[in-house]
Amino acid sequence: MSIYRKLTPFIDLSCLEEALRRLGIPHEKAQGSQLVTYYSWAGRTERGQADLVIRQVHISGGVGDMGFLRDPVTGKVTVDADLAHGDAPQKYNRIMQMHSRILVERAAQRAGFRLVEQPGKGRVLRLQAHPLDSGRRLEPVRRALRG
Amino acid sequence: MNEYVDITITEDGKIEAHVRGVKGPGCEGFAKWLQALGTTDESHRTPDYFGGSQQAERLRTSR
Repeated sequence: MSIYRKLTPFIDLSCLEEALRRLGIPHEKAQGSQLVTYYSWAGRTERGQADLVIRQVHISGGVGDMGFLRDPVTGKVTVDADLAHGDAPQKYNRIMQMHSRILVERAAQRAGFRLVEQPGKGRVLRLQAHPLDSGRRLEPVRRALRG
Repeated sequence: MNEYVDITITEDGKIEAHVRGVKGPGCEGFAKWLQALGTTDESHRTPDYFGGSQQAERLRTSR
């Protein structure tokens, strides 16, 4: 190994939607500029509006909806959810893990890498990214090192 | 040696990447595509990185 890096990924709404689709979690999505209203306390209190919402009924034991809102200026996605009850924290983690996988899959494809899944321990996912054309990609580096 | 990036996605969605088989400055560029995916919590070079650079340096000076 020669370099190690640990990242907290940015949330990408498109990857998030794909993650929910793969996990079979129903959700509601904003239509154009029409955001989705979401609620807390079993639908009794309006909590806010978001681009993507998972209703409480799909988060067993949860006390409110889960909302994902994208800032139109910065593009940063914030999450509003009560992660202290029921299986909301586990569900949130599963969504984030699948989201990261899709994020990596798409970035690897753009960068010209092929992903190979490896056996992981527990719920950890392990992937290997191999360059599709390693010889050509590293040749400038090798030339520079040769001086 | 086979060059690849070993990627671990933790249970809560954090991404860990180890560049394998690429020594010296080349490994920075090799995993650049992953860097743009989020904010870096931790990053360090491992002994192999420096081993590769020193080897390259030795090659240059021996010419």
